[in-house]
Amino acid sequence: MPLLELAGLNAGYGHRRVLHEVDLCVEEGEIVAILGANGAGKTTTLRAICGAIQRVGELTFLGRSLLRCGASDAARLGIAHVPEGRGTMGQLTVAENLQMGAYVRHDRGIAADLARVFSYFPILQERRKQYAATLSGGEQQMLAIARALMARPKLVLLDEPSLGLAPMIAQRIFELIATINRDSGAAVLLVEQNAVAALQISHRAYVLESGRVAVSGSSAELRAHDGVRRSYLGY
Amino acid sequence: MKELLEQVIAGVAAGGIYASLALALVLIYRAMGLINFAQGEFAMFTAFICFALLDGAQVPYALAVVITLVVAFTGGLAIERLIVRPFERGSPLVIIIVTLALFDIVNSVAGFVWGYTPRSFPSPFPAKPVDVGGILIGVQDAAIIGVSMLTLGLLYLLFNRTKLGLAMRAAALYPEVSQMLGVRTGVMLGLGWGLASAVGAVSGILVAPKILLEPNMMQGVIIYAFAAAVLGGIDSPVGAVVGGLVLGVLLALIGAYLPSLADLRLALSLLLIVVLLVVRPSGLFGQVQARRV
Repeated sequence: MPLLELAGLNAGYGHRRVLHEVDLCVEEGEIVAILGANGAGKTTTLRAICGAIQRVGELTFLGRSLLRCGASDAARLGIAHVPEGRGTMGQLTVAENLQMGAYVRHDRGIAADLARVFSYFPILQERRKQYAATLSGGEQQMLAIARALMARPKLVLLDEPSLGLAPMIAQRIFELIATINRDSGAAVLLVEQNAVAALQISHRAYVLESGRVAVSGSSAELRAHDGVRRSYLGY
Repeated sequence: MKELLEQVIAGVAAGGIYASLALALVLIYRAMGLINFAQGEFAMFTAFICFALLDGAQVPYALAVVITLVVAFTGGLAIERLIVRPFERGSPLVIIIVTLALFDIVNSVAGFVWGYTPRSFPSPFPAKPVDVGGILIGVQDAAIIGVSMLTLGLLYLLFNRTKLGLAMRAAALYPEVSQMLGVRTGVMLGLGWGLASAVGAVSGILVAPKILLEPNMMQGVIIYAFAAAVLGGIDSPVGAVVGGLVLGVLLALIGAYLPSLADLRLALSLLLIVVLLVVRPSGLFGQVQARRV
């Protein structure tokens, strides 16, 4: 049974339908990439999963339908969302952001997880008392990912983590995502415009075009397939 | 000199009352980005409830206060959920009009239930002032200062040292992100209103023994509280308290040493609000930017 499954999912904003009959799944421990041009519906897919917008169709997580879940329920079920633009809470400190990451948890492992998160991102430990708004773009992205990890999620939704970052820093972020996936076993659903980098670290990928799944397969296949690369990925 | 100190202390005590109500205004502002114009009337209503417990049911003072705070909290939460929430997605102007309507409604209901005849509010503190090093301090005044400081301290602890307080701050500043983290932002908003009402109730209970209890009693206080909040920074709890104390002392000194201006204190406070909003909307400690709605 896949961790997350979308079948025939339609979603949109008000009367405007953006996603049409999308089939997609994420297995436990996998990194799955969603690729496509601007406006293809990548971010909308993540929003539909989280319940931030209206959706119709089949949407299950660990076998349970998510359709009746509200916007704040996804976190409780084990889905962590790192939105486009990071969503760091600038007027709170780094430490407070991380604390809020663990909001849904009531177990005793929070302190240990904080230590682990600091070991992945030492700069966050250094800056833990600073307001999040004072961090650089790359540091804020690290904070957003670290905050997601604090929830000990089963699935991390990552929306354009490399957006606005210098290539070297973006590369570092991708390496960290791969490391975290290996170490913690959390599945990752990665929305990215940087198809090259996304296909490097992901196991499988879906390419969206105008709200539909145009191509899907293992990342190795998609990397190797010239036609796909040229038509859909632009290189 | 002695007289000056006594005036300052009386001003600090009055300032404590303004500060408590200003704190309630700031709490709502931080939660929703707007002023609850009915906050003073909520405080008046809860003061009447306390009076009913003390006078009618002969409940001991401490218990009456606790019950009143619980009722105030619940009432604020209920008002947010039932009356304000349907309008939350709309324009801020609509919610402001709702609070103005609540001002009228609460005032009228209080008048209907208890009438407009002023009454004296029983106080547990002796009326005779205490002599501290040659300076006379009213016990009621000292209690007001103490309670105001305690309220501020407790709020500080709540917002900065507890998980719930952090969640309330996050929900107010970043509602969408907070929802992604699992925070039920609607619940947090309700709690914010409940808390603000309880803090406002403190203000009402403190002021009632000093002036006579009647439905219009908070209408002067709310203007001063509003001025204090704007002076201190409408989104800053520390600012609300500092603003309240500064304003209280200022008004007391004007009353004592500039008797010709004494009658104009309310008008001067309104003028202060207007001037501040134009010249420095963020006040002393705030971080707000003015925005045309």
